[in-house]
Amino acid sequence: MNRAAHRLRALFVILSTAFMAAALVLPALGGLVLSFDSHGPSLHNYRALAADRMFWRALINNLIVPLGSLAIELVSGLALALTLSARRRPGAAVQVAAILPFAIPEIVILTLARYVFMPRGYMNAALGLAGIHALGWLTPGSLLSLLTVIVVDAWHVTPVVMLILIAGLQTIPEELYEAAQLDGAGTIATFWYVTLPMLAPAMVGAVVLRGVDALRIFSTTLVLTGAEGVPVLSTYAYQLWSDAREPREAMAAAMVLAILVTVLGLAGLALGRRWSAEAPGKEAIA
Amino acid sequence: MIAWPLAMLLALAAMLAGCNRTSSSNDELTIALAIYPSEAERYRSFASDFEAREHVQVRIIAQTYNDILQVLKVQARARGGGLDLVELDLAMLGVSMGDVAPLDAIVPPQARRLFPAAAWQAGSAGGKLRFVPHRLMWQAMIYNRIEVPHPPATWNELALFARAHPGKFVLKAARYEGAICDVMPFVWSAGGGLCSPDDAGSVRAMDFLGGLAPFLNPESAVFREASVLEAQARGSVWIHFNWPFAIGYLQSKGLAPSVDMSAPLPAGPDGMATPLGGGYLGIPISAPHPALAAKFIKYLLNPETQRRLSHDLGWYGSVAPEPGSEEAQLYAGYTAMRPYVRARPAVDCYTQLSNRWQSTIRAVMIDHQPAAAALAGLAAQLEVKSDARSDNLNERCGCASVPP
Repeated sequence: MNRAAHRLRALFVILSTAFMAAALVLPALGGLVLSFDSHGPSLHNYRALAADRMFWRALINNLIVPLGSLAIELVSGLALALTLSARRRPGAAVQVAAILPFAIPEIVILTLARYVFMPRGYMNAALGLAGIHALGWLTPGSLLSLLTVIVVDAWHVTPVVMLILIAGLQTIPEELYEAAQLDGAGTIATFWYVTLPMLAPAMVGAVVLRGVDALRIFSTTLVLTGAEGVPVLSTYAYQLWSDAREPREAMAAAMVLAILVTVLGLAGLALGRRWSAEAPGKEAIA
Repeated sequence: MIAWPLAMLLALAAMLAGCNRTSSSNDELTIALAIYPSEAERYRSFASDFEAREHVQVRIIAQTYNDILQVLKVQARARGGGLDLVELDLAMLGVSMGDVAPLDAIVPPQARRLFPAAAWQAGSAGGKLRFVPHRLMWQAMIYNRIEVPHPPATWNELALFARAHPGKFVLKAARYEGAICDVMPFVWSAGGGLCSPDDAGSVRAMDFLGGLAPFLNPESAVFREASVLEAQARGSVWIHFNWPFAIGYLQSKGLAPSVDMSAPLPAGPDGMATPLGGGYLGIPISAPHPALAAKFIKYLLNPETQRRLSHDLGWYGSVAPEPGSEEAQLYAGYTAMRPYVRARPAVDCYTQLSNRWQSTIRAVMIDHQPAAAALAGLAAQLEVKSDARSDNLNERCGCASVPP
């Protein structure tokens, strides 16, 4: 590599590092300092959060909603991926229907979901036609509203998991299936001893990627239930910043979320690596 | 080979240099208003008369109240900036009084008649006028005239209605300023106040609301102006309190006056009250063109200009609709509430005061805590004593114990 190329490479490294520092590290550090500021260095903002019932609701929801959403996404994403990559593939209409929730802009899909689940929405109208009482799908603080948020969040992001898993399925060598067939393995055994272990890295990737993303859930709860209906940490921080005009407390809440995402993200990655190494059937393939 | 990176660096340097420069000419008035882009177009058109008269150009910057407040604070600290006039929400005036210039010399005595006395008091601090009302509004009751032919006129009638029709009455109890605007009419009309949470009137009002809580629409916990209005339009809700824009929205949907109308807020033991809201204009202490900004304020404080402002922008402002007109019928509730307008206190710690009240309101109405205990807790937080009497509003509101 000649000297000019070295210089060019150094320049690009410096530029990108400077950009990262200016756009990410410095604001994050500024936010961290702000979260400990209350007319001087203090833990006041974190104490204020701890004394607020809404914060604890937001923290608990911030664990329940991503977990529920991720479980649904993984199961339905895998089912869709297996269906769409099967030898007898379904028609284009099914493929379009599978990808559509992700293709439509998020705000549009969430507004549609709100019209579906609101008190006089399409879902209750359908229940009414069937002679069933209307349900409070979005009633603030109810278990049903929590489930509605989980299902809607899972629904519009499942195609992401599905696409990752389809890509993973395409990397599995066809010979493995032929060998399993020769050994007389049935559909379930083939899935358990061939597909699942070979798909493990893609599943780990999907879980970590979507898990981290799901922890930062914001628009789904805000559009469906408002900041107070099913609060999560990001909507809670937004409400503190926007409505309560308490930027320091908002930043403290954002820092709690950042810690949560980092810790759970790294833990998920470590567990995922371990799981993909010990996936069932690994030995059988080996 | 390194020509491209160098070119990029030069371009970046040029952009940064460009960012540092503020354009400010003597014949341009820059106003930051919290309006939608479509409203900004109409406002520009409205201001063209002033432009022609003064041979200046009016530049409208449409932003949110929060952003305007932040820029005002930065401009005040930097002792420089580009804004000549800023519009702030009434709830933000307390924290901004020191960032704007006094306006007493600008406002002629006859202009004081344009707005209720409470509106002028809200823009004043330390005996000096700092903000002038720009577009005022207050709340009235929006009711479904088909389902509720006789809207409740008193607390008792409201309680009877709520019990007879559970879920059809709403109070906005989300954690935001709207909760204060819905609850304060009750507190005021019982003789209580924002700065006297342990006062007998405040306790009586919150007791009454606590009694209504089980019959409120369950979405009261999250409803805000727009969402509750949508619920009213869909028929899920029959009665709620809202600002004049609600009537315009319902009219645009073909629901007013055929289905929905406005009525006065229910009267309590001490009569009626409604919260004053809306935007106020102030001249930043470091405005580049303060004289031009003063001229624009004088231009605004004129009955004819006010009439045009209401007409062109569709704002229910200082000019009441012509008696007998369709507007008079639609806005009857708002017109009836005009004498009962009350301003929230423009104190330094208003944000904190409001936030603590919001938590108390939710404690009583959503978490069903006893009103007296919740309010006693609030008074203890604010270190407010009901017998405290001081000329200083900040002291009366407990701002010493709640640094802004």
